[in-house]
Formats: sequence, structure tokens, C-alpha cells
Amino acid sequence: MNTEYAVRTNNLTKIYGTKAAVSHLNMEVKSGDIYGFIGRNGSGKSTTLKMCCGLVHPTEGEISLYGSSVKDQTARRRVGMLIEEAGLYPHMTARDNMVLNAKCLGLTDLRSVDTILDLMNLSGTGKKKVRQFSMGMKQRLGIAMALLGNPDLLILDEPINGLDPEGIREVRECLIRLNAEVGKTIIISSHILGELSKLATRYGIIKEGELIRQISRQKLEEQCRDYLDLKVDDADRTAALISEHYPEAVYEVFGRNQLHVFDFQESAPLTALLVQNGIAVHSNSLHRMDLEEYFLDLMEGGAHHA
Amino acid sequence: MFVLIVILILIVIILSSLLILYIREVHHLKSQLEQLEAGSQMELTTNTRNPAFVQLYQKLNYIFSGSHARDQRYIRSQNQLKQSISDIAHDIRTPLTSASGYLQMLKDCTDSAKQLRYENIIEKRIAELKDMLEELFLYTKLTSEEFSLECRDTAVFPVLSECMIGLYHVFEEKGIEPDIRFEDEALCVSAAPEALSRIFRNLINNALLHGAGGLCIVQKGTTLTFMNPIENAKAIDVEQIFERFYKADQTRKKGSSGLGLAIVKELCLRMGGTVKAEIREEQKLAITVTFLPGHPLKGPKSPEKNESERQRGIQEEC
Amino acid sequence: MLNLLRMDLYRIVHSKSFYICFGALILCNFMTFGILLLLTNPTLRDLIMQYGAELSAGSDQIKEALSTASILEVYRQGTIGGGLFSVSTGILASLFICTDFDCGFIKNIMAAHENKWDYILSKMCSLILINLLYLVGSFITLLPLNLISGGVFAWSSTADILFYLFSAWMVTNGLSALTMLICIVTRSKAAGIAGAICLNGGLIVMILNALLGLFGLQWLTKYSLYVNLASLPSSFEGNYSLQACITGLVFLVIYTVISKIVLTRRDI
Repeated sequence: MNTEYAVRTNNLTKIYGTKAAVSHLNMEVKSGDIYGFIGRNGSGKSTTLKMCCGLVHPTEGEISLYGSSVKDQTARRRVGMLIEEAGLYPHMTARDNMVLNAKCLGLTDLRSVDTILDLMNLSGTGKKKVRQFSMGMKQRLGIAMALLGNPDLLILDEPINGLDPEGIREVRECLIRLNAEVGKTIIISSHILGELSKLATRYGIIKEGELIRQISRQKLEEQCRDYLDLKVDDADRTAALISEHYPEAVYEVFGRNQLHVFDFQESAPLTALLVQNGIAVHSNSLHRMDLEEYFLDLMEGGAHHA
Repeated sequence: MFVLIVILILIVIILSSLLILYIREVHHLKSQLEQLEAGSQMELTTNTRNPAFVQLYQKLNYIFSGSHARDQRYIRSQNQLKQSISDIAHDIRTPLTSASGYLQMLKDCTDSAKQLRYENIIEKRIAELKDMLEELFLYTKLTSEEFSLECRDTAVFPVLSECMIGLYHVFEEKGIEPDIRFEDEALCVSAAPEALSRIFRNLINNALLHGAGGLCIVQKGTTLTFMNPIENAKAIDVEQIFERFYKADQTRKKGSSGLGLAIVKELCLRMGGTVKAEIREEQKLAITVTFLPGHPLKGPKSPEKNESERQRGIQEEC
Repeated sequence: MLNLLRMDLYRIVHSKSFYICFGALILCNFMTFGILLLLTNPTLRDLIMQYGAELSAGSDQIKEALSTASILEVYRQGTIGGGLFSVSTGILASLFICTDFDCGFIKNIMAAHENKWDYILSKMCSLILINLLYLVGSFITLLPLNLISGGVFAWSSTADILFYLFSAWMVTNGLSALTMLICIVTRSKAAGIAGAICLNGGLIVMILNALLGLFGLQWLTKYSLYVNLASLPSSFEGNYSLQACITGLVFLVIYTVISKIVLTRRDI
């Protein structure tokens, strides 16, 4: 059993009627990753994650969980999931819901139910029925349900939906701890790119059912190194010098004192050159796109600068 | 007759179903164990509530979770070790790089005044490095199993006074007047004098180097509290403050190895005492050391030191 | 499968609708018993006539008609025959199954259980158990009533009672399987309850009967579950009496298998 990859999909396709919700998806999630799954509404995120949980049958392609097929019952037990809204019986209490899920899984020891409820700050709900819960509490209970049975892989579809900033922070810290201390692999999809950027170690970007990019956090940071921001006292002369010595370089001038030089690696020689030619360089910094810009750029499909 | 046959058939059916169920359960266990072997940490699940199986699963879960916890502890301590080595290397690098840079400048310099200055700076950096390494060696010695402290009845006040005098120039430099309040100046505790001295020195140094100015030392019973105001109370984690290499200020002010308080904690524990840190009044750090009581010593103590210390106790914000 | 069965039984015991449906059933039983008692007892009859009730039959005719009535007959007329029993178990089954889909808990179940037979069989076993409990429970509540009223109705023999209840159980199991199929296909409480009322209550069979009558195929409805339930034999008189049981069993199997196929085909 090859367990280097927690989830591996091969040519995964799902067609509803005539429309392909997911097409030829090749996703790879390594054990121990926190995989951030990014995509617009309706881009096929939920469908893909549902297929990884075995809730939806793929039209084509296959999925393997820890080296075994997704249809293998025992391999599926290593997965805990929260897809779309948490599946909770509204007329039962939080603890009852957890107990039912524990029975469904076949757990032998119900003490873990109380431990997990404690972890998610839900021990105080007592006899309150789930239909009286706030959205945030329901989400937390959903995550608690996903944690039953100590799964190695957590698949969370928009888990921070409806949570207040405090709740978001708690969930984030909990997930980071689970990943760092216990080594759980987490696949998390979200719109909120800011949150994802604090968590994920790898990103998968899906657009219209296709995985357009799969990239580690390191590589992303490298790619987000966007342009060199130069603040000089004479932008015109600087522009001239750049064109002469680096004819391939692409740049943009902003007013009298600022230039952006794109895809440029040699900032030290350039600064030396400018100084030698009598131009005062006030600042020279590498601007980084943030995740949102990068993502939006990717969604738009490419060139953001000439 | 007919009824008997029906009943017998039913019994046979029930028994064979149970048999099949239990055999399948064993297969289920096997496939779960295969997953665990591959590195999974999942909890074992059962399809039957037969007590024999349930107890078996609970026992197996217990054993496996113990094994996983051990693995995690091992990985954690490996990471801690790597982190410590990295921290040490980082701390050594700064003064060393600085000294090296000045050495270069010294070689290229012709002005004898500047040369002298550079030489002094280099000397200072090397001294800093030496101190840091001394502390590191001490800490390593302290945390080894073989190290033992011989405790005897030690008078606290004289030791403290000596430390204060030893650090007098630092107090002068920073313009700080310490406020010392001793309930019982004849207090004796069970401690090793050199260790006690070290503890006080480190605590006072910590207050002087990292505090916002001011130091207050209060004694009650066998407890001493060292209080000093601090700039940013939120940056300090009182749980972590005694961890080795912990520095609240991430920029790692020069001259500090981050081991001072770790050494205080180690020494206290070795002598059977306790140490605690807390934030008081939102902007004061209070470190409390408690020792095991000792028997009072007979004989004269050093009165002159007491007097000079007392005279210094002008009202400082404490 | 056993895990899911345990889960389902836990849910049933902790749900209110289980007890409410049972209570409604018993209430109707009481009412039927009460009305029949009224009709046979002369003093009570006069009392209600004073209040303006009109009786189309004279007291003697009523006595004659009801003299042959046994407790089993009362039970049949009040509970089984008109479809009350199967409608109430059908409604309970719809609520029970459709809640899983409505609230999304089915996701949790299906993520943990790849084999859909686990789900279908556990639901079916729960429904079979509910049917049994309801049948036995509602019948037993009639007995003390009969005792209290001084044995107005004749006591049927134990063998007859057992056979009748067994046949009724088999047929209602088939009807529950049908309700389950509707719930799995439509995944909606409203559709399930409507289905329970129309199918288990015999509405559809009536319409079907009328339609088939045009083609001379009425005899087909003899094999429908509703008709079988309505005309259950009161005692075992040869193999023919087993027709109801067999019909029930056959439909049970067919509907269960179709439910499994539908559940597997569709995504959650």
C-alpha cells in the first residue's frame, strides 16, 4: 500500500446531463499536507470532494485513498468529512447526534465523544436541540462529527462558513494543531482566501471543473514575487538606463519617482547601475502579490500586464 | 413435532448467522490492522457488540494510541533538538559575524584611534560570545542526570546583597534604584550558595536587561518575588518564559542567550523549590521563587551590606 | 448493517413520532370498540338516540349482526381492514426515512458505509420490528377492554389470533417496503406521506381496480397488497390461506431490491 499520497485522483470526471461538473481532474494530496482547494462557486469543488468521500460516483476516472480504492470500506474509515451543511438531526441534542454517528461507525468507546465535544467547545449545550443552534455551533458540531474515530484525513468543504472571527480563529488553530501534533492530512475548501493562506501548505485551484494549478506554498510565494518596486528621483532616466542595459525587461512608470519592473531577478546589479549613473535610489523592494490577486488573476485567465 | 422441527431450524439458522458474523468480524479486524500497519491512527470500529470483541478492540485501541503518543513525543523532541541547535547557531553567529566584520575593518584601517575602538569592540563581542557559551555549558550540565546540587542552610539576604553589589555598575548605568523589602532578613533556606547566587544574578540581569526600568524584590516566608515593569506585557507568554532560548522580543536583543530564566528554573527545581511567572497590574512581570525552608544559622551576618542596601531603597515604583 | 440497525433503533426509541403514531392507533381502536359497544348495548343505544343519533337498523338486527363478531373481527374492522394501521405505519416510515435525507445525516451514513445493502436492510429490519410492535401492541390493548365490558365480543382462539397477526405482519411489511421505496426515490417527506395515504390506504388500488375492470383484468388486484390486507383470512384453512403471507413476502423482496438499486444509482 503506497501511503505517501492521502488522496490521488486519476482523470476524474463527473458529467451531469450534458455538462461536465468535473473533468479530467488529477489531484494529489500528500500525507501531512493541508491542501487548500480554491475555486469559485459552482466550479466543481463540492462535487470533487463528494467523490473523494464516496457520496457521488464518478462518471470516469478513479480515486485512491491511501493507496486503496475509494470503494474500500476500511480505507474510507480513515476519512472524516464535512460537506456543505453538517448532517445533523434537528430534533436531537449535540451529544445525541455524536452518539448516533459513533454507533454508525461502530466505535467501541463513547468517551471520545465527550473529548471531541470539549475540544470544539460544545460541552455546554446540554439538552439544547440542534434546530436551536446558531450557524456557527452547527458548523462546529459538523467538524466534531468529522473528527469521530480519529480519521487520518479530514475533508472539509467550507468549514468556516457562518463562523464569527473568534470561531474562525478557533477552528484554524484547532486544524493547525491537529496537523502539526497528530499529523492529520486536511483538505479544506473555502472562498475566504485570507484564511486559506494562513493554513494551507499546498493549493489546488479549480476552474470550471478543471484543476488549473496545483502548487505548494513555497512555489506560490516564489511565483507571487511579482515586480520590483523602484523609488528613484528620476524615473525617466531610470527607464532609459533599464532599456539600454536590460532590453528584455518590461517595466511601467508611475509618475516622476516610481517604476515597476516585472519578472526581474537582478535587482542588485540594477541598483548598482543606477547609483553609478548618479540616480538616487530611495527604495528597492520586491512586491508580492497576495493570494487573492494571484487567484483572481488565474481566474481571469492570464496576462495582467504587458 | 412440526413445531419442534421449526424451532430447531430456527436455532440452527441463528447459530450459523452468529458464526458467520464473528468470522466476518475477525476479517474486518484484519483489514483494519492492515491500515494501522500502513501508518493510520484511526480508532478501531466493530460491527458486533459481543463483549469479547468490544473489549478486544478497546484494548487494541489503548495499545495503539500509546504507541502513537510515543512516536509523536519522539518526533517532537527531535524537532525541539533541531530547533535548539538552530537557535544556538543563530545566537553565536551574530556576535561572531560582528567581530569578524570589525576585524576586517581593523585590518583595512590606518587611524590608530579607530583601530583602538575596533579592538575594544571585537574584545567585547568575543566576551559576549564567551558568556553565552558559558551559560550554554552550564545549562547542559544542569539538565544532565548526573548533576547534583548539595544543599545546606544558607542565609538568603547576604547572598542577595552580594549579587546586588556585583551588579552595581549595571544599576548605575541604567539609573535604577532597586526596592528591596525583606520580611525577615535572617531567613535561611535549604540551598546551594553558588546556585542561589546564580539564580539571583540571572533574575536581576533579566529585569535590568529586558525590563522597562525598576526592580522590586519582596520576601515573604521562603518566597522571593522579583518584580519589574515591562514594555509590552502581551508579548510575554508566562508559560513559555522559562523555556530555553525563549525570548519575548523576537528580534533577540544582543547579549542575551535566552537561557537565563531556564537556568533559574532548573536550579530551583534541583533544590526542591518552585518558580512561577505572572503578569501583575497589566504591565509588571513578577517572578516568584520558592525554596525549601532551612534552619536558621547562628552567628553574625554582614551588617554593613544590609545598611548600604537599605539606604538605597528609595521609593521606586514597585 | 448491525451498526446502522442499532443506530436506527436508538433513534426510534428516542423519537416522539413513534409513540404518537402508536397512541393514535390505540385511540382509534378504543373509539371503534366504544362505538360497537354503544350499538350493542340497549341502554346506551337509547341514550345516543335521545341525543339525535339516527340508527338505520333496529336493535335486534344489530344484535344479530354483531353476535358473530369476535374480538378479532373488531380488530380487523377497526384497524386493519380500512387501512388505518398500514397508513399510520406508512406515515411513521416516511418520517423515519426521509429525515435522514432532509437533514443531511445520510451523508454521514453513506460516507462510512459503501455497501448500500447495509442501509436498506437496517431500515427494513427497523420497519419490520415497528410493524410487529404496533400489531401486537394494538391488539393487546383491545383485550382488557373486552374484559372490562364483560366479554361483549367472543374470544377468538389463540391459534387464529396468531395466524391472523402473522399474516397481517407479512402484508404490512410489504407495504412498508413500498413506502420505503417511495421515500428513497422521492426523498421527500410530503411525497412519502402522500404515498402512504394513497397506496397503503387503498386509493390507488381502487382506481386501478376500476381501470382494469374495463379490460376484464380485475382479478389482478386480488394480488395487490391492499386487497390482501383487507381480506385476510381469520384462520388457517389450508394452503390457500397462506396467499396473503406469500404475497407480502414477495413484494417485500421486490421493493427492497428495487430500493437498493435506486439508492446505489443516485448520488447523495
